[in-house]
Amino acid sequence: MLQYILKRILLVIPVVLFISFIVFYIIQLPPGDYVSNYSAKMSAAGDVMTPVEMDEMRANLGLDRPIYEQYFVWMKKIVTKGDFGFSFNYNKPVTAVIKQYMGLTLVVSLVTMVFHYVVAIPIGIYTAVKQYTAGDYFFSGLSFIGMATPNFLLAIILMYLSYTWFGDPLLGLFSSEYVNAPWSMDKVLDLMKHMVIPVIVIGLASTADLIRIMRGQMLDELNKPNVVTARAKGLSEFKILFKYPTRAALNPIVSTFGWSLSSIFTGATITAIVLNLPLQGPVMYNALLGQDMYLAGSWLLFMALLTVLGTLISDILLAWLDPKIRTEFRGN
Amino acid sequence: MTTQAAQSEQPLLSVQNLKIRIQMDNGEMKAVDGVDFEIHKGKTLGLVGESGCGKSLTSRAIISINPKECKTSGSIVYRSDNEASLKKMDLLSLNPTGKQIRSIRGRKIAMIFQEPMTAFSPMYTIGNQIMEAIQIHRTKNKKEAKKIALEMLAKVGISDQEKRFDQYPHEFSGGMRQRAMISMALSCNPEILIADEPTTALDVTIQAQVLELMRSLQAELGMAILLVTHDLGIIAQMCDEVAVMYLGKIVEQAPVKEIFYNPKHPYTKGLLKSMPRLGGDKSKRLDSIEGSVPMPINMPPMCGFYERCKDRIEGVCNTQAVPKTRISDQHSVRCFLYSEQREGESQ
Ligand SMILES: Nc1ncnc2c1ncn2[C@@H]1O[C@H](COP(=O)(O)OP(=O)(O)OP(=O)(O)O)[C@@H](O)[C@H]1O
Ligand code: SF4
Ligand SMILES: [Mg+2]
Repeated sequence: MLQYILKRILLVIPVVLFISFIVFYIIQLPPGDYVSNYSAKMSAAGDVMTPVEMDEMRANLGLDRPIYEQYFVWMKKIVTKGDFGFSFNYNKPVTAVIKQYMGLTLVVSLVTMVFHYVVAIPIGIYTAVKQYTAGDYFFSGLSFIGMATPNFLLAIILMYLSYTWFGDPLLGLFSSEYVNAPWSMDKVLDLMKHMVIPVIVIGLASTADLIRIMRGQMLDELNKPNVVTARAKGLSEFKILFKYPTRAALNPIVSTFGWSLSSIFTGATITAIVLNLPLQGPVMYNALLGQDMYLAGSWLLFMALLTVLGTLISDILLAWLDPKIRTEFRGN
Repeated sequence: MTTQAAQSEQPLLSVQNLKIRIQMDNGEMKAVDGVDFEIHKGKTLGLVGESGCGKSLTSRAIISINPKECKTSGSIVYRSDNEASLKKMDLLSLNPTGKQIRSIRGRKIAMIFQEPMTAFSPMYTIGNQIMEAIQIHRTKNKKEAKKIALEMLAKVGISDQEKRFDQYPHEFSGGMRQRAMISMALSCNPEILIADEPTTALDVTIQAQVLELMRSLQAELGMAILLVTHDLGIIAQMCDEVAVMYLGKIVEQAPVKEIFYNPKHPYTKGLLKSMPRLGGDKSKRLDSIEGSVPMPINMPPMCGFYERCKDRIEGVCNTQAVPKTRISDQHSVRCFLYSEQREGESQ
C-alpha cells in the first residue's frame, strides 16, 4: 500500500510539469500580449506608446524570448527559488498577489465543502429511509430547485432578501470597518456572517447534487440482503443503518472527495464577482483577460496541482476504503 | 399434537393462519394466504414449492424481517424450550423493530440465506460479522466473542480460522461463505434455524457437504430446522415433515415418507413426477408441470392450481375456496378430490 502511494506521488510530478507547459502555452496563444494590452489601455487614456517603447518594455519583461525559453526560466525560478514571476497588473510578485487572496479563498472553499457534506449526507440518508414520505418529497423538490437555479440569480435573490430583512446586502466578506482591521473576535464573527450567503450560493448546486447521489446510493444499499442478515441477527435498526447501508453508500462519495476539491474552488468565480468577494476567482479572471501571464499561469498551475492531488487523494481513499482493493495489496 | 414426539411436548413454534398482503399497482396481492404449520424441537420441517409461491415471505415473517410493505396477519406463537422468561408469546404481536423481537432474532431463532455473497456485507471481515451476533446476545467482551467465533468457524469445518477470521467475504469461496453463514447463525445456539434455500447458489458437491454439515450440527446442537427449498431431493435427505406450498397456501402437509409414497394433491404428485431419479441430474426439476402460476391478485375464491390441474372438477374447484381435509392425523391436503365439503353438500 505504502509503495503504491509513493509510486502515485512520484507520478504526480511529471503530470504537473506537463500540464504546466500546456498551460503556459495556451495562455500566450491569443493574439497580442501583456504589452499590447497595456498600450491599448494607455492609448485609451491618451498616452500613445511608440513601437520602440513597446519593444523595450517587452525586452524588460522578457516577453521577446521564445516561448519555451520563457517557460524554462519561469519553471526554474519556481523550483529553485519558489518565485512564480511577476504580476504586471498588480505590479507585485505573483506570490504576493496569490497570498493576499489565498487565505480567504481557502476558508470559503473549505467551509463550503464542509457545508456541502454536512448538509447533504444526513438529508440523503433521511430521504432514502423515508422514501415517498412528505419529508422525502420536500427535500427532493428543494434539491431539484437548488440544482436548477443559476448561482448568480440565487446570489442576487439572497442579497436582496438580506437587504430587506437585515438592511445589509452583506456584500464582500467583511463590513467596511473590518476590511483593514487586524484580526479579532469581532472580525471573525463579521466574516462568518458574511460567509453565509456565499457558502449557500457556492455550495447549493453541489449539495443538491450530493443529496440526490446519497439518496440513490442509500436506496440501493437499504435493499441489499446484507441488511436483512443484519436484521436477522438482532441488530437494532439504528445500528444497521449506520454500519451497513450508510457505510457502503459513503464509499463512492468519500472517494470522490478529492475531485470536488478543485471544482468547488473554481466554481465560485461568478458568485465571487456578483457578491464582490475578495477571492481568487475574479483575480484570475482579470489576469486571463489582461494576459497577465505569470499570474494566470501560476494560478492555473495551482489548479492543476489541486486537481492532480485531488485525484491522488481519491485514489488512495478508494483503495483504503474498499476491502477488495485493499486485500489485493495485502495479497501481493 | 401430530407426530408422536409432538404429542408429549408442545411445538416450539406454531404458525396459524398466516397471511401476507402486498399492495400492488393493480390490486392487493395475497402473497401468503392462510398458512399453518408447527415446528418441533430437534425436527426438520421442509417448506417446498415453486419460485414465487411465498416461501421466503413465510419464513422471514417468523422473525418479522419482511419489508414494511408486507402487511402480515395471523399468529406465530413461540414457546421457548429452555428459557422461563420467554414463555409463550405471539411473535407477530411484537413491535417489529422493538427490543423483544430483537432478543429472539439471532439468539433463539436464527436464519441463513440463499446467497451467502450478498448476505454478507463486502465492507467488513467475516470475523467482524460473525462476532456481531455473539456480541449482541452472548457477551460484550470482545476477546471472548472472538474465541466463540473461532470455535464456530472450526465447527463448520473451516481450517486456518485465525486467518479466515480476518478475511473479507470476497476472499471466501461460495461453499466457505455458506459455512461461515451457518457458523454465524449457530453462534448463539438458537432453538430454531430457518434456512432459506441454503444450497441453491452452490454447486452439487458443495451442496451435499453443506447439507451434511447442517445435519451433523443439528444432531450435535439439537435445534429445529425450517428448511425452505424447491428441491425435493433435499427434502428427502433432510426433513422429517414436509409442507408443500402453492400460490401462498400450503396444499399438502405430511411426514416425509407419506409425501413421497402416498402423495394426494395433484401438485405434489406433479412435483414428484418431475423429480429426477436418484443420482440423476439435480439441476433440472419442478418446471415440467405445464402452465404458469397466476398472480394471486383479485382472485375469486377457487383452487389456485385449477388452471394446471389435470383432475380438476369444473364447477367445484373454480367456484369456491378449498378447505383443508385430513387424510390421517398427520396428513392433510387442500383439494376437492378428498373433500366432502363441497358447495351444496352439508359438512
Ligand atoms: N417486497 C415485495 N414487494 C412486492 N412483491 C413481493 C415482495 N416480496 C415478495 N414479493 C412477491 O411475493 C411472492 C412470494 O415471494 P417469495 O419471495 O416469498 O417467493 P419464494 O417462494 O421464496 O420464491 P423463490 O423460490 O423465488 O425464492 C412473489 O410473487 C414475489 O414477487
Ligand atoms: S382442488 Fe380441484 S383443481 Fe385444485 S388440485 Fe384439487 S382437483 Fe385440482
Ligand atoms: Mg425465496
